[in-house]
Amino acid sequence: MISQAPANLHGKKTFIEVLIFGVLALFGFCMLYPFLWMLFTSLKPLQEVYTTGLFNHGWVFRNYVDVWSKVDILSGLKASILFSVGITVSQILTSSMAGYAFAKIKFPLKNMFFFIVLSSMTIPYVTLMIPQFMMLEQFGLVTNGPWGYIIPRIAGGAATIFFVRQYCYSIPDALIESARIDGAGQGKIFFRIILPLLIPVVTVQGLFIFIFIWNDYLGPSIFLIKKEWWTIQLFAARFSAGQTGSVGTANIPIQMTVAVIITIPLLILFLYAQKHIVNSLMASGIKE
Amino acid sequence: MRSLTTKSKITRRDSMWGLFFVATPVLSVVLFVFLPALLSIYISTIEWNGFIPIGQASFVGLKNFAAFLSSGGLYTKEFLNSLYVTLVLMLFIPFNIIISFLLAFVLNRKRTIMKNTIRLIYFLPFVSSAVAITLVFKNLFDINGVVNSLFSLLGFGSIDWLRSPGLSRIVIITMLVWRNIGYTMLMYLAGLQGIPDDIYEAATIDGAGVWKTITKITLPSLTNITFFLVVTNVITGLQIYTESAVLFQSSFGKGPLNGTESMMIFLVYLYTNNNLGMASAISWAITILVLFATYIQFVWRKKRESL
Repeated sequence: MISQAPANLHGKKTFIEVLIFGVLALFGFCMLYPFLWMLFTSLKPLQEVYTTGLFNHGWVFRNYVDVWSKVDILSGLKASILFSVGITVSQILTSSMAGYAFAKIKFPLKNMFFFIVLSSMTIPYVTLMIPQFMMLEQFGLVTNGPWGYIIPRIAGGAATIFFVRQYCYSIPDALIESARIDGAGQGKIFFRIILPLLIPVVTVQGLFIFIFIWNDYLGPSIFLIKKEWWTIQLFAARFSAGQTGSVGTANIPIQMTVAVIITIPLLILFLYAQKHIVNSLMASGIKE
Repeated sequence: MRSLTTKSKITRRDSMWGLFFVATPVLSVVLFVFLPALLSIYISTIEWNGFIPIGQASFVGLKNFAAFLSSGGLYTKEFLNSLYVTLVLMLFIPFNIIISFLLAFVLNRKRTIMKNTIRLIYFLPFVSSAVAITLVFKNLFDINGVVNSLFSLLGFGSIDWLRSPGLSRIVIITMLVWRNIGYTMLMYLAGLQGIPDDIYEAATIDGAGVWKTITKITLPSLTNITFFLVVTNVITGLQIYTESAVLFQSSFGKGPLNGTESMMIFLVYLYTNNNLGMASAISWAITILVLFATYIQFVWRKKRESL
């Protein structure tokens, strides 16, 4: 660690650097602590939760076995994966198509349609969820399955469309024109030429959508009524709900096992793509 | 090549494709944003439990709004409480902004050791699940939890965080700060990297100290980012829901003495009790506050662009 610092630094300067690093590392430990607590508690037997420190005497993987029988985790995971992947793919595809069309295709009422899409950003979800529920319920789409949750989320949001549109402006018209001369229609151009070019952009946007849908709690808690369609977040929250009050009786290690199972896919995704995510956020920060 | 094609003319086939490509998002906005928004205005003026057809619900005009806005209204006390709770929870914003700025400032220094790893660790909470993390914090702040162990090491007694309204709010604020620091810090890092080095060099040559450099150069160049962050934080802050809801599931998120009942918690509570007219009216109260924040941001941008 210290070897990274230039060797010719004066003692005092090195000391200050080490001090700063110490403070940052201590703070970093606090930032990591909830994750560590979650992980280590999931590996503890129930009696040890508050009697031992962060680490346990022996590793217990029992919770990971028990969790399958105590929580409908498989059903929750299935629903969560289905919604997160499905909605991400569908939002990316629809917003790519729309972003491309808004940037590169001439069609009537284009500006009006673009304005309609952008204006949706001004109205917060709070206002929309109750009437959305009422409308979709009219067609039996809420009580009979997950469609009430899925349908309003099929289309890509204004932010993603705007982002793709900006990116499409940087694609040279000549590329599209030459394909047209070769006789390709807009559909072929989009899927063969544009979509592959958009992959790096939409990957990051897709990650954000995935993270958002995976972590969503408000939406599922209102729109997913049947237990067979509950997401893993609903199972986690509601499983713990029956166990408020005295902590002694709550099965905290099992709760934490569920928490670990919810968190791990996101952490893997994030660590895998962190460079892209961080760069994309930093770029948006520079624009502000 | 360009001259060969009909550049300015809208062809029929292009129109078809264009309309087809934008159809899903446009229809979705019309059906799931515009229509519900209008419907919501209507629902806010009726007394409706959702069980009878909406056409049979009785029209009450502004009664729902009066019920929480007029003094002595049926829900006025609860609404004012939820507004107060929301504002208190929004205290996470100054903490978030100040801590994130300090971290970004230190991480932006060339000499700081292991800054990329540290930056990554600080960012992790931002991608974590609010439900999972709330369950963790619930245990960390339990009467037997690690926070109390730490306090007793320092010679304090055990504190029952989750049974007092004020202390519960501190738990939620801590959670919100913890979650948001990573993102806010990244925004500030981006801003700091946008400040050219020669300005600092010039300042050093002119004999400006560290403090003067920060207050006279660094902070003024970050005004726009700070403004953006405050407004977006206010918009999310007005809609705080999940933390309270998961922390105090058994009381629908209201918490001890309704101490964590944010406006969103109040709204969803009315909704789950089938008081749909009231819930819609409250949703417009939140929406107007959000729109106001958005409007201020818009005006600020315009002003900045015209400079």
